[in-house]
Parts: sequence; structure tokens; C-alpha cells
Amino acid sequence: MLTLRSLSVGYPGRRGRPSRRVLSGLDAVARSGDLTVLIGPNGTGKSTLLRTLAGLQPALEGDVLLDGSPVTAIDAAELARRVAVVLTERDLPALLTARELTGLGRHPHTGFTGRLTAADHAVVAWALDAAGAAHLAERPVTELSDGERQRVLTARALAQEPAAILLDEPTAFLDVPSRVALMGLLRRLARERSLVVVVSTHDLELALRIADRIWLVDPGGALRCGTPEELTLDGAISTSFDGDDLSFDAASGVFVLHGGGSGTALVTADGVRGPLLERALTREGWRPAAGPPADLTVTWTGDAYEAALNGTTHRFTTLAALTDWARRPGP
Amino acid sequence: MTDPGSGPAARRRVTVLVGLAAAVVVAFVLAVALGSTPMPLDRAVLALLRADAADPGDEVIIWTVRLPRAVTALLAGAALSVAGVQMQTLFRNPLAEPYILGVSSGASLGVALVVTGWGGLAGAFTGGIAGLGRAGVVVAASGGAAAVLGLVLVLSRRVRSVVTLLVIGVMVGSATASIITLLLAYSDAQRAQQYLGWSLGSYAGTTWGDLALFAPVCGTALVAALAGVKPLNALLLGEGYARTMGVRVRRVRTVTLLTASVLAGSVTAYCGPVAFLGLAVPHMAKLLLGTADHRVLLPGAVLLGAAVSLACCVATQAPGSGSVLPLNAVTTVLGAPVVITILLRSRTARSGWAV
Repeated sequence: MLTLRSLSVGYPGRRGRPSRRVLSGLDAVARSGDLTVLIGPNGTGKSTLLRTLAGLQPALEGDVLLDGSPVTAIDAAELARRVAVVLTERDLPALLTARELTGLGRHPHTGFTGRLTAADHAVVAWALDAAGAAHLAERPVTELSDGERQRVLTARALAQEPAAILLDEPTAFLDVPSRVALMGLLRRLARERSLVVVVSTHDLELALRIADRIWLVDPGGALRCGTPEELTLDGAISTSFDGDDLSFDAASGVFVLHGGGSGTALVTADGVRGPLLERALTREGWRPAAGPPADLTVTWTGDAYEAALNGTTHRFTTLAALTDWARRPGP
Repeated sequence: MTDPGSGPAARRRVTVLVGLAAAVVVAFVLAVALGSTPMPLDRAVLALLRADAADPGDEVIIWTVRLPRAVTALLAGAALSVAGVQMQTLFRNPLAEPYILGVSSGASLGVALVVTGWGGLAGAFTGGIAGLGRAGVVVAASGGAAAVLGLVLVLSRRVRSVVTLLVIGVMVGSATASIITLLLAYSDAQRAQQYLGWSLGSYAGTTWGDLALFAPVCGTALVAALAGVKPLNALLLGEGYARTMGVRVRRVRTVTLLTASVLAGSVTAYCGPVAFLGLAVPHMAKLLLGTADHRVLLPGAVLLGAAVSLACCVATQAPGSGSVLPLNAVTTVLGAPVVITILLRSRTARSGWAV
């Protein structure tokens, strides 16, 4: 269990200059077995917080407690056996295979020369397998795709056999399937190995769908903790991320662009065609209506779309034609 | 790291290391057997063994000229190559080399000061400057190298980023080089020539007396470097990752800079600033062994560095001509095409690598 107690993070003052506090008064808990996702608008100090949790920079005030003992009181080598980190640094050394890179994670467990024993090799093989990177083991890391590299770096962290893994933006630069797969992998690892997993990400929608607990850094510099649903219900998500052009739709869990100035639209269509029509109309500036009356009604007749606006009915045979018309409705 | 002794990659590494060890032996024999005075191999062997039938003249040549020269070449090559690997990993930069932080510039400044007469203000031993002694040069070079090393170590305590440290090191080197240029511009031509001769590098000047100090210093630093393979491996991923794996990065940085600089500084003191080996051999070793794992790479660099250095030593003798070529001209002119060819043939190198 990783506990933050009245924690302040930032950069200490040097030579008379005052220290720069990035976040202060943080209280939170990341439990074993939970996927804890750290989110917040850009520049609020997510990375600084993670670096402090990892012991890469000292806390300005307060404590980070690992299973009850302050991380600053734990010897560096011992801490490395309990906390593993995946950083944002992306350039990997050449002439190193994925297996060798994963083997580097055994560093805190090996002896003076760093020689891996049979047991170490077994852990490396397990870590590669657990991270879904077993098939990459003998490939040079410089030849891997971004998603594959992230898996190997996760395997390296697992090879440390830690109680807690901290990951800074592991899904950046990944395509959508790889992001979902990586987050799913992290959640599975948290469950199966009873790990504390803290991940920071920019991918808010994915975080809200997959996280067990959210740590939300709000623009005021406070840390809000809870399940994704709690934070959505109490408005913390909207307060932090809504902008002039964007708002968080609580029910669907996605962000929608504003600009719905065209009026309300009522859609009648069967199956998946209904929501898709609504999405297309929303993009063109209409707000879906739950029932009549509505400014615009669109009906799928089975072979064409009929759109009724101001008493006039227009027929479109393709969805594209309807969408184009809906942007600038005319005769 | 892959289990040593299993798999095709591991077998290749063992083969390469054995091959390199054999190359060192062959190159050492050649360095003793060949020289500016022609001598058949059988006579050279007899002289080397100090057999009763050996020619006394041959014995003198072998034991006072060629053997110390070959041992110096072997040590210098191993030292510069290991220091090169250390620097390239520490700075995560393929252009880093043992002299990048100005160690050789410091040594050069020390020698330039003594040669041009300015050093005479500082010590009595330089009194008879015109016939500057061997000891004077060695002491001056060591002093200069140690001064720059001290400066860099002090700065490294204050600088967080290795990149900044690298830039500072290059600055110190450039500033030192400029001072040397100034010194030479205001000294007479003969003394400038004397300095120039030193700066071309040579394995030929070392005596057994020199080796009595050079060999233990170099050997100790080599052992210290080989003992540091584990943290160097952790540094492959950068200082951030190394710290999260329990490495005390500041201490490792200081120890690595210290050993690399002692290696480079001692070579410079006895042989002058030997160019190129420290930059090229680490790349060649990495590509030959196909790994960045320092547990394989550092021993490989020791062997390859010694072999290449001995080969250069043989080449300087220009067999038969009776003249001796400047060492730095040989290492660079012969070495650069070889390295460029290796780089062009390697897929890894063509696609670029970070370390």
C-alpha cells in the first residue's frame, strides 16, 4: 500500500531562491491490487508527483509511505526491490535484446558482478511472459515498435519483483488498441500479483473506463481521489477538464465538443443506426432530443433518411448526404 | 542478460573473445619481432629467452627497446579502450571518448608549460629546460591531467545533467588548447617542435623504470573499471532508471570519471595524447560482440584495444625503412577507414544508436 501523507512536491530552493511548490497538502492511498490512475490537465505536476513517489526527487514536506514506512527511510537498494518505475525516457540502447533489457531489472537482486542465476533467468522469462512480450525476447529493443517497447519496459519493471510499480505516461505515443491493451495488462497485473500500480496518463476517457481508483489533480492543485464514477458524479471531472469548447458527458463517459447551436434533433432508427445518426448530427451542431417536440426529426425508412425541418421534408439516400445537409440546412 | 554459454549469441561472444585473445598474442609477438632494425624471428626468440646462443646486441634491442614498447602499447590500448567504453556509457553519447573532458588537454598544457619554459617558474627540476628530461615530461603531463580531472570532478558534483557536464568538459578542453596555442606562439621554434613531437604520441619512450609505475597504475585502474560493470549496465537506460534500480548515481559517476581519467591520464603522461583508440575501439568491440552488456564488452574492449594498439605499434616501425612513423598518424590514418568500413557494414550502426 502506498500512502501520501500531507505531501508537498516541487523543487527545493537553491542559493536563496525560494522553493517552487508544484502540489501541496496531498493525502491519498493507492491500494495493492488496484489500478490507480493519475490524471489531470497538462502542467499540473503529475510527473513531479510520480518522480517524488519513485524517490527520484525529495518531497518538500510530508511523507510517502510504503506499507507504513517512509520511502526516504528505505535504503536505495531495498527500495529498488520494492518499487519499480517506468519513466517517459524513450531512447533505448542499441545492441540489447528485449531479454537483456528485462534482465537489467534484476539489478537490485543480483550480486557484485550482476551475473544472473537460473532463478533470475526464470524471473526474467516470467516477466516477459506476464507483460505479453515473450515473443519479443530475442529481438533488439531498438527495432521494436512503441507499443512493444512499452511492454518490454513494463517487463523490466516486473523483473524487479516490486510491490509497487509506478508508470509515467506509458500510453503516450501508442495507438488506441495498444493503449487499451497496456492498461488492461496493468490492471490484470495489479489483480493477480496484488501490486500497487500507479499510472499517469493523458487518456482520460480510457482512465475513467479502466481505473479502479482515480487520483485527479485539479487545476487548483488539490488531489481528488475516488472511483471514476464518484468523481464523475460529484462533478470533479467536469470542473477540471471542461473548457469553452468541450464538456464531459457523464452518462457516456466521453468528452463532447460544444457548438450545438442548431437546435434539437429527434432520431428514429433501428439498431446501431440510431446512436450513429445522433453522433453525426451532434457533430454538425444538433443536440439529440429524448422525445418530441424537436426542431429536426430524422427517420430511417429502411431505404432512405427523411429529415423534417420547419414543415419541409427532405429525402437522402446516403448518410453522407444527410450529414452535409444537416451542417447547413437549406431547401 | 542472456545466460553465458548458451544460445548462438553467447557462443558467438565466446568465439569472438577467444579470437581477440589470440590476436593479442600474435600482435604482441609481432611487436617484439618486428622493428626498425631487421632481425630474423629465430634470433629474436633466442634473444627474448636470453639463451646462451643469443647475440648480445639482439638481446639489448629486444629487452630494452622492443619489449617495454610492446608492453606499453598493450597497456595503453587496453586502458584507452576501457576508458572509452566507460565514457560512452556514462554520457550515453557515441562521440564521447577518454579525452572528451579535457584530460589530455590538461596533460598537454602541463607539458607545453614545461617545454616552453614557463614551468621553470614552478619547479627546480625543469631548470635545464633545453634538455628536458623524461621525468619532467611525465610529471608535467600527470600534473596537468590531474588538475583538469580535479576541476571536472568538482564541477560534476555541482552539475546534475551529464550533458551539461559533457559540454563543460569540452569547453575546458578548448580553453586549454587555446592556452597551449598561445604558449607555443610566443616560444622559440625549437621548443615548439619539441612539444609537437610529444603531442604526436609514442610508445617508444617508456623504459622499464617507467613501466614500474605505469603498469601498476594502469592495472589497478583497469581492475577498478572491470569491477564497475554492474552499475555501468544499469546506466545503459539512463541515470533516471539507474537510480530507480538502486544505483547511487553520483558515486558511480565520480568513480567512473576517476578511473577513466586515471587510465587516460597515465597513458598520456607516458605516451603523449594517443588519438583515436579510445573513440574507435569501443564501437568496434560493440559491433564485434553484438552486445552492449558490459560484462562482455569491457573484457572485449581490453583485448581488442590491446590488439589494435599493438598493431599500430608494429605499423609505426615501417619495417625495413629504418624510420619511425608518428603514432597518432598511424592510429588515425590506418584506423579511420577500418572503422568507417565496419560502421557501414553494420545494420545497427547504419540505423544509428544511442550509446
